Amino acid sequence: MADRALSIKDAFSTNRAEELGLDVWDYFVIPLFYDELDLIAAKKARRIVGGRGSGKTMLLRFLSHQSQFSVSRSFSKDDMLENIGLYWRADTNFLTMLKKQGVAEEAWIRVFKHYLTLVTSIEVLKSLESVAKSKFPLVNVSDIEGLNFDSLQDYGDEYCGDYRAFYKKIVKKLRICESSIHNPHTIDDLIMLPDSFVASGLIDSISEQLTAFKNTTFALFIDEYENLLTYQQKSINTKIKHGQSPLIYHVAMKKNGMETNDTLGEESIQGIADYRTIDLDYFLYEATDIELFSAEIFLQRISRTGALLNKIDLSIIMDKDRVQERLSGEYKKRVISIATEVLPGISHQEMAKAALNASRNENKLLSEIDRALQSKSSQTKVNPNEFILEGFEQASIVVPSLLYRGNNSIDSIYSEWKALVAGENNKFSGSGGWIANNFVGSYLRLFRAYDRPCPFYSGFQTFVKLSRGNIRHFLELCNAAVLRCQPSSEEFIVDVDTQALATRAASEDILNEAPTYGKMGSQLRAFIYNLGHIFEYSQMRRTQSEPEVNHFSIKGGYSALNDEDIKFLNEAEKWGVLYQEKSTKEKDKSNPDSVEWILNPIYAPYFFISYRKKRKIDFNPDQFRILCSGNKDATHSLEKSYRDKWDLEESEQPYNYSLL
Amino acid sequence: MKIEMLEFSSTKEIVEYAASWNIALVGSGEDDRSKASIQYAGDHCDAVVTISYDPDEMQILAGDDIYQCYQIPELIKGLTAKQILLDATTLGVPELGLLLKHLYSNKKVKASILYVEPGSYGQTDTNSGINSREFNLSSELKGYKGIPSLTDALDIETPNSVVFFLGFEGYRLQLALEELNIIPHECSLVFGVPSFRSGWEMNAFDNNIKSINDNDLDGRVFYCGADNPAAVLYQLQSIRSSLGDDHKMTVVPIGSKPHSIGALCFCASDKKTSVLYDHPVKAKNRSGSVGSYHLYKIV
Repeated sequence: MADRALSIKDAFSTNRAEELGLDVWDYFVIPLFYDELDLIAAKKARRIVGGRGSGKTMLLRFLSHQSQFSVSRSFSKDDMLENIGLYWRADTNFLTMLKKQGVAEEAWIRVFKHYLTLVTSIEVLKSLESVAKSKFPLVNVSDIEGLNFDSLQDYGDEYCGDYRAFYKKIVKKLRICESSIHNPHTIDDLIMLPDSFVASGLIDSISEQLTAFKNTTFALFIDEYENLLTYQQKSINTKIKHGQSPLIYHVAMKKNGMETNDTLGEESIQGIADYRTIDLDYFLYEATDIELFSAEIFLQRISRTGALLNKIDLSIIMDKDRVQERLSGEYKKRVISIATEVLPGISHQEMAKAALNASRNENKLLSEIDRALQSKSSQTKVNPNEFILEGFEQASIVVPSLLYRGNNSIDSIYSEWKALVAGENNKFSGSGGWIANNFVGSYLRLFRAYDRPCPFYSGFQTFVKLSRGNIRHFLELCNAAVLRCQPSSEEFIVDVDTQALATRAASEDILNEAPTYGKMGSQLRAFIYNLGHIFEYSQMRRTQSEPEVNHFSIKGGYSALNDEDIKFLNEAEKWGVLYQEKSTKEKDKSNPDSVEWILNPIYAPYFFISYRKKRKIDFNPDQFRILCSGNKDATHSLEKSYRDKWDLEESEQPYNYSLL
Repeated sequence: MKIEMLEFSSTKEIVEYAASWNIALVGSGEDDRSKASIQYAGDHCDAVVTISYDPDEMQILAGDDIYQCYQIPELIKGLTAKQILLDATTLGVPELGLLLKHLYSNKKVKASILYVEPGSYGQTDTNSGINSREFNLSSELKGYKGIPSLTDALDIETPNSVVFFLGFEGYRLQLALEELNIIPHECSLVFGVPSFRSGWEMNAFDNNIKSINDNDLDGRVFYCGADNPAAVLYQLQSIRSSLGDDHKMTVVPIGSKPHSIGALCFCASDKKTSVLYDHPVKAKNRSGSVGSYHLYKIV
C-alpha cells in the first residue's frame, strides 16, 4: 500500500506539457470538443486562443508529427498523410533580439523571414523521419534516406544532396543566420532564402519523390505568438493571409494576444476570411462538460500510477473516434462517481452539522446570536439557545445575519424559526430562501474566525469549480491534495480536511505566480490582493445582506474607462486573473458595454470568500484605478471607506490561517 | 581564468591594500551600499564612467555615448585604461556580462571588481500576512529577453545544460521554466550557501521550493558561498568538464551578485555558454545599510 501511495503522490506532479516532451501521444486525453476543433483536416489558418493552463501547448504537441507519428500509435490501412503538424515554439528570448542595434526594421524583417523559412524547413524534414520511424505503413526509413534534393540547387548550389546531407545543410544555414543576428553589422552579407523555399521548393521536391506525401498539407503551429515583436507578428500574419496547401500556418496565443491584424503589405487579416478562431477557454468553460473532462484527466493521471485500474477502462479517452461514447450517461456517471469517491465533498447540511459539532463554533454562533438579539428590541424574550437545534444547523448558522438586518424583527425571525421546526411553511427553507441565499456567506463568516481548513473548498466538484476550466489549476489542486494524503486503507480517498488544506495551499501558490504574468505581473498581483481584500471585507459583514461578493462592475462600463484601464483589464484577462461576462443585471442590459469582471475563483480559498458567482460590487472608475495602481495610501483609504460602510470593527481584519 | 578574492570591512582597508585604478565603470543606485561603492570609485579612480544597459533598445550608454553590444571592444579601447575597476554593486548583469566578455579577450587591460554587500534587504508589505520571506527587490520584471553578444537561441532538441543561480525571488526561476525552451531535467541549481547572513539561505530555499518540486529539480543542486565567485567559476568548470564538446551551457544569474560575477566570468571564457536574464527593475530602497566590501581580481 505504501508503494502505491508513493506513486500516487507523483501522479499530478507534472502539470505542464513542456515537461512531457514533444511526443505526448500516451498522455493526451482527447478533449470532448475535439471534433469541433477541425484542426487535423484544416486547410486554412486557425487562431488558437487559450490562457496559461488551457492545454494549448499540449494540444499543439498532440497534433504535431512527434505525437501523430509516435511509435506508440497504431495505424489502419485507411490512414493517409493528409495533414502533418509541425510545432514551433517561438524562442522569444532570442527573437526579441531581432530589432534595432543600428539595423533598419526592413532588414530585420528579411532576417526573420529567412529564420522562419529555415526552422520550418527543419521541421518538415524532421516530420519525414517521424513518419518513417512510426508504424505508418506507406513510408519507411529507406524511403527517406533515398530522397535527393539536388533539384533545389536553383536556390543555391549548396542546397543539394540526400536527406542527411540536406538536413545538415539547413541546420548549418540556421547557425549562420543566428551568428549574423549576433553580429548585426554583418547582416547585409547574409544570403537569404525566398519565402517560397518551403512550399514551392522543399515540399514539392518531397511530394514528387514520395507519392505518399502527394496530397499532404503541412501545418506549422506557432506557439507563443503573442510574445513575438510586432513586425514578426505581421510577418506571420502575411503567411496566414497567403497560406495554402501544401503549407499553412496556425498560431496559438493567450487571450488578447494578437496585437495587430496587419500584414507586411497593405492588407490585414480578417477573421472567417483568413482564419478561424478556436477559443480554448470558451470550449473548456462554456461549451464542454468540464466536470466529465476533469474527471477523465484525474483518473487517467491516477491510473498511470497503477491505482484504480480495475475501476474503469480508460482507453476510450485516448481515442478520438469515441468522443460521443464518452458523453453517454452511464459512462459519464461512472467516471464522475469514481473521481468523487477519491475526492469526496460534503453537502451544505453536512457542513453545517460538522461545524456545530465543534463546541467552539457553537459557542461562537451562540455569542453572535446573543449579540444580535441584544442589538434590537423585541416583544418576545428569546433565548439564543432556542436557535440551536439538531437537524436545523443550516438555519441556525444564518440566524445571526438575519437578526443583524434592520428590516427583520426578532419576532418575525423567531416566528419563522418556529414554523421551520414545526414543519410548516417558513422563510428559512420556503420561498423566502433565507437558507439558500445566506448559508454560504454566513458559514464562511462563522468559519473564518478559526485556524482551520474549511470543508467548503473540498470535493471533486468544488475542484472543478475552483479551476473554472483551467486544466493546470485543476491539476495543481489535485497535486496539492494527493501530496498531503495519508493512505490508511485499501481504498484511495483524500479526506475532506486534507482537500480543504490543499485548496488553500494551491490557491496561495497560484497567487504567488502572479509576478510571472508578463510586464504587469507585479501590478496584477497587487490588484489581486487589493480586490481580494475588498471581497474579504464584504464577506465579514455581519448582516450578510449582500453575501458571496466575488465580482465587480465599473460604473459607466467601458465608456468610462481610459486606454490605460482597458490595457490593464486586457492583461488581467489575458493571464486569467479576471474573467469577463456580460452584465446579468436587468438595469445594465440597456448599456451595451456594461460587463462584469469575475475574480478567478482559484483565489477564493486564499481570501476565504465564495467561489460561486453570486453578487457583485460596483466600483466607480477612480476606485478601480486605485485597486490597479498599487498605491498603498489610496488603497488603505479605499479599504477604510468600505470597512466603515460595512460597519466592520477594528479587530475584523483579513485573516489567513497558517498552513503550518 | 581564476578569480582572486579579498574581503574588507571598510573602504579604509581597501585603500591600505589596493592600488588605484585608471578608471571605474559604475552603474546607478540609490541604496546605501550603492552610494558607498560609487563614492569609493570616485575617490580612488582617476575617472568614473557611468554605464547602463537599456533592455528595450539593447544598447549600452557609457557617459553620453551610445554603443551597440557588438561595439563594446571600441568602448573599452576608448577608455585607454590599463587598470579598470568594475563596480558590480551598481552595474547590472547585462553590463557586467558584456564588459567581462570583452575584457577577457583584451589582454592589455586588467580588471578588478568591487562588490559591497547590503546590511539588509527590504521586505514586502503585501497584507498577506503569510510569506515572511517575500522581499521587495524588484518593482517589475521585463522578462527574459536576449542580450546581444551574450544570448544564444534555445532549442529543446540541442543538449543544453542550464545552470540557475537562485536568490530570494522564486518567481524568476518559475518564469524561465514557464516561458523558455528549457528542459527541466537539463537544469542545475546553485544556491548561495553559506549566505551573506546566517539564515538568509532559507529565504532562497523557501521561495524556490515549489518550482524545484514541480519540475523535479532537486537532484542537481549545488552550493557555493553567496560571496564566492571563484567557487561558482570552479563549479561551472566542473560541470563543463562533465559534458561533451558539442554540449551547450546556459547560465541564468538571478541570485547573488558575486554568483553572477562568477557565472559571467565563466561565460566570458567559454564560447559555448550563453546567458539568460530577465531584466528586473530595481525596487526603491531594496536594501539598507552597508555590509562587507569585496574585491575580486580576475587573473
